[in-house]
Amino acid sequence: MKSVLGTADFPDPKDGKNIFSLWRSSGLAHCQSDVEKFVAQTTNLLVLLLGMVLVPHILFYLFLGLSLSALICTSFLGVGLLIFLANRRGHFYLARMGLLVTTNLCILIFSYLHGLEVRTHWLFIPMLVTPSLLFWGNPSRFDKAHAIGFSLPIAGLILVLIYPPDGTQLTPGMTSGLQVLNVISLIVGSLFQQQAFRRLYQENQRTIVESRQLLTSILDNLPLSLFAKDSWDSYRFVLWNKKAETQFQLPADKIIGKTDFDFFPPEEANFFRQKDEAVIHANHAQHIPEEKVTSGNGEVQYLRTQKVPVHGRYLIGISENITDLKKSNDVREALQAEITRKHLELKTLFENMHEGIVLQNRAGEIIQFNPAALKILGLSADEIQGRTSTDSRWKAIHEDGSVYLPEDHPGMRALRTGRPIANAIMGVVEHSTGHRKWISINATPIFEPGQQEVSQALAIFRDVTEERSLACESEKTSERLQFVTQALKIGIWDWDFKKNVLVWDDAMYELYGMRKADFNGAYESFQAALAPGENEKLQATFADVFSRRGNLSTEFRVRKPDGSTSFIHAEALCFYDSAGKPERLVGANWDVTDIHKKDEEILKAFGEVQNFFSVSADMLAIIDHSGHFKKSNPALEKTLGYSPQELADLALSDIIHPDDAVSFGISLHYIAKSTQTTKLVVRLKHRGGAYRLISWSAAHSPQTQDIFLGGRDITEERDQELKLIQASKMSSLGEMSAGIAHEINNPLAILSGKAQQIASAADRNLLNPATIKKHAVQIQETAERIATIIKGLRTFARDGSQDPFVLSSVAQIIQDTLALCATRFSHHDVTLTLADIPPRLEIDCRPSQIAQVLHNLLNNSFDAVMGRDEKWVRIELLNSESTLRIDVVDSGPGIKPELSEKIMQPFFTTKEDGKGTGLGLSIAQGIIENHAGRLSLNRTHPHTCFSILLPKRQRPSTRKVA
Amino acid sequence: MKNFQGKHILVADDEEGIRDIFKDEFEQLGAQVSEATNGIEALQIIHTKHIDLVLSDIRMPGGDGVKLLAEIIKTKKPIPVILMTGFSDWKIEELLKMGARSVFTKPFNLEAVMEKIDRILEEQK
Repeated sequence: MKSVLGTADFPDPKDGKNIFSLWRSSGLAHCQSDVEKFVAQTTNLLVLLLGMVLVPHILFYLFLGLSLSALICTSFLGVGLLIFLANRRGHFYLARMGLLVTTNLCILIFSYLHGLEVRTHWLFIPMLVTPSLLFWGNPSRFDKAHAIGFSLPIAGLILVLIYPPDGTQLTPGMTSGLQVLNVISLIVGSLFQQQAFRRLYQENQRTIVESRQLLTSILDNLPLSLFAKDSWDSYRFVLWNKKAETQFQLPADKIIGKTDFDFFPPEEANFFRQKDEAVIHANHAQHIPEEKVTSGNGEVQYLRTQKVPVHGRYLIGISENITDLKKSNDVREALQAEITRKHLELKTLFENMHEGIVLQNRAGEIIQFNPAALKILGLSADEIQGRTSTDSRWKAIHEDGSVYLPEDHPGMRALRTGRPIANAIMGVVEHSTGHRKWISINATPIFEPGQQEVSQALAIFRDVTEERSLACESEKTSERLQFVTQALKIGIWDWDFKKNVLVWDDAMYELYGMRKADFNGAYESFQAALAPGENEKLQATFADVFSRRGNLSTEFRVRKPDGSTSFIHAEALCFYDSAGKPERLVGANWDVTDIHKKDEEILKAFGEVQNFFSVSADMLAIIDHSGHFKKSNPALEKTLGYSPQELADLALSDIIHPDDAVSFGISLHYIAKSTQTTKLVVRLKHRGGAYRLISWSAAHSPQTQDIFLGGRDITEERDQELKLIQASKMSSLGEMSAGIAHEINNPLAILSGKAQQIASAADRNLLNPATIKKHAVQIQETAERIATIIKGLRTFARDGSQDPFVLSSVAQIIQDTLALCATRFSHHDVTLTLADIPPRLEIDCRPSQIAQVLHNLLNNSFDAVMGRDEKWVRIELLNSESTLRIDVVDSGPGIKPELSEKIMQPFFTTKEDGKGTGLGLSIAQGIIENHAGRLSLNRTHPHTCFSILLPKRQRPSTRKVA
Repeated sequence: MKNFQGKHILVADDEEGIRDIFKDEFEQLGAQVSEATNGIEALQIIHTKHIDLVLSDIRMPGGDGVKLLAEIIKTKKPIPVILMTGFSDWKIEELLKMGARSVFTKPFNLEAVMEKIDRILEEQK
């Protein structure tokens, strides 16, 4: 019991006599491990086997005639040893049972096998006495009785060996006497046995009572609450000491046999139960530093509890009331938090305030300081720490520049006098920059608690350098102003209006080119300097300013004595009396002649530009970002027929052709972002209603966000061009005529030949149906050939520019085109290869125009390959989802890079005079662009390759544009 | 009545219809007819066979009739060459100067052509 309290160590149950020995029920109880238990059980079993099984076996051996004496002795000794072991293990009943059986069996064996000779009595006597002796012994100990009991049979045996049986038979009386003796021996042994047990019981009983008393007194006198619960019985309380009774206000007789749930609020009981179960399951003691419990009288307590498992069944709990401790802890913690908070506040204030704070000890050394102090003094923490007021490095001075004596430093004075010092101004040298800094210091002495002597001084100071310098500045300002006005040649004047006294500074005389002697200080003197007519204007200005009680801001011309004219600008503050009459004017004058000159130059330049604007034959306009006319020139007004007033209300979008509006809007957007001049062609509505085609150059002004436009009416030009295109086509037709003549004359020759043959045959009566049929078929075929050619020609020759866009078969277009030139190609040994054309491939186009372009490209290719060894032209198709590319590739020499730029230009040709107009490609390009496509020379292609890229479907806007 | 018996005439034209017409005509009159679709073919036939007269188109793929005429003249064989053309950059006088015995433009009068051939063949005799 020595260490029950407060520790997890618990006495071993087999260690001496204690309360727990009550629960020891068998010899196995003390076995600590499974191995030991196993060994003990095995031993018990062996004893049983030897006593009940082995011995009868020995009897059989005896009947088989083995040496009797030796075997009996051996078995007897073995059995005795085993019984002894069983006894040692506490299997007293078993040991005794074995002994009884063995001795009786031995008696029987000797009786029946040896015919019970007299000398055998030596052996019988110990055998009969032994059980009684063994019973006599203490069941829990091997004592003297046991020793004698075991040694007696051995002694009997020895006697038998020394005096072997002499053959004298026992009489029936002796046998009966022996049996009686045997029974008596057993009865006596049982009596001894009972007595021995009673003795043992009494001894145990006493021990228990003593232990109980001891334990109870210990438990009841514990200053801690102690309780025990039985986990096998719903954690009912089995123990509840006195302290627990008082602490929880619950008497033990009430609580024993009950659970936590019978007394405590459910949440507390649940908590206890959880902990209990955890302790039992883990089979390990647990410390609960703090738990809440509501005692019997409703008082809330805080406990510190140790819970210990015992034998995996019982739970011992020892609780200490920590309510008071906890309460005092709470108060302390709250106090600590308050102190910390205050400290933090002060620290924040200390570190963030603009004023510098230093704490000086009695020797004047700085022992504490805040960041502001470091900043103001320009010192690092290391530099300021320990520095004294007497340190010469401060280089402290008074406001008047005299040296600040160390003992006069406010901190030192506060330390010395014990009185606070306020607003001492001191100049110190900032250590890091060497600049002079001015600080205003308040110093306060600090007394030790309960002491009269000053222990420390607290100096609080702020930087007043700037305030001081501002004060100094204002003194210098007027001086500076004077310099500035002189430097800028600004004259200052002061005119007392009522007294008519005009005061000028020196600069004024300079401005007016006058000598002081010529100026008498009256307005009239000034007036004399004005250029003719200026005084009247100035008077009018004055009248206006005074009438609205405003300030003066005006310009006038001055005729200088040297004859030159200057422009003077005047700005003045006007002061009025209570009646609103002007009292005084204070102002400045300066020469603005140069500015006027520049303005004149600008005006002149502007006039020139304006003239150009007016005389330009091209249309010029400035429009704002929304397209409204800000300015327009007569050419524009004439071309479009609007007056300037009408144009001012117009936006370009109002007069633009609806079909051009979208693209124009986009162009405008583009122009506004671009820095370059952009060209665009739009149709604008003439006032009369007709549309004019205008080609514009447009540029954007980033300053004003305006757009500058220069335009030319190209309506007639375009008409001319269109005519030219038709002419070119006709010329191209001429070029083709040779080919076409050949194309048509050949079939015509066949037709004519056939006709003559038929006629001739008819003449000679040689006509038969077969011949006629043969000729007729050929005539029909030939006529169809001619028809195809004519159709191709029609397709080509007509002006397709007004045709509607229709979905057309690409194969058909290409066939129509080839009809016109295939023969020509083959006759000149030009191999014409045609890509596979999907039969259903269609594009939205004007078919005759596309045929025209294709024909043009094929003709160009034809010309290019003529005269070359390798002569071929290929038409290739590149079919994508939304576009179709038709490539015309030939084996020609290719286009020289320098020419590739020009080939699309109108009237550019490489052909000899008369062979080409130079319009073909430019027209072709125009056509393809009208189809929202692109005609280009593929410069990366190894041969000459022209690509026609066409959208398969046209957008509605494209369809409309002619 | 014309009789082309024993004559071997070469017709060179890329138009099958034209060749057919002349083949019919010449064969009716007892002549043997060879056909060529271009000048080169025609020249090969001239080199391998005895030809009495050549009737050739001018524009043909693979060697035109004018070249053929020049080649025939080069061979120094006395083969008369008659040229036909639907359209040509050549003037008839130039072709005659080059050695063509006669030039016809398409469409032609078949009878006139046959008459001319007959006369030329007669002269050959």
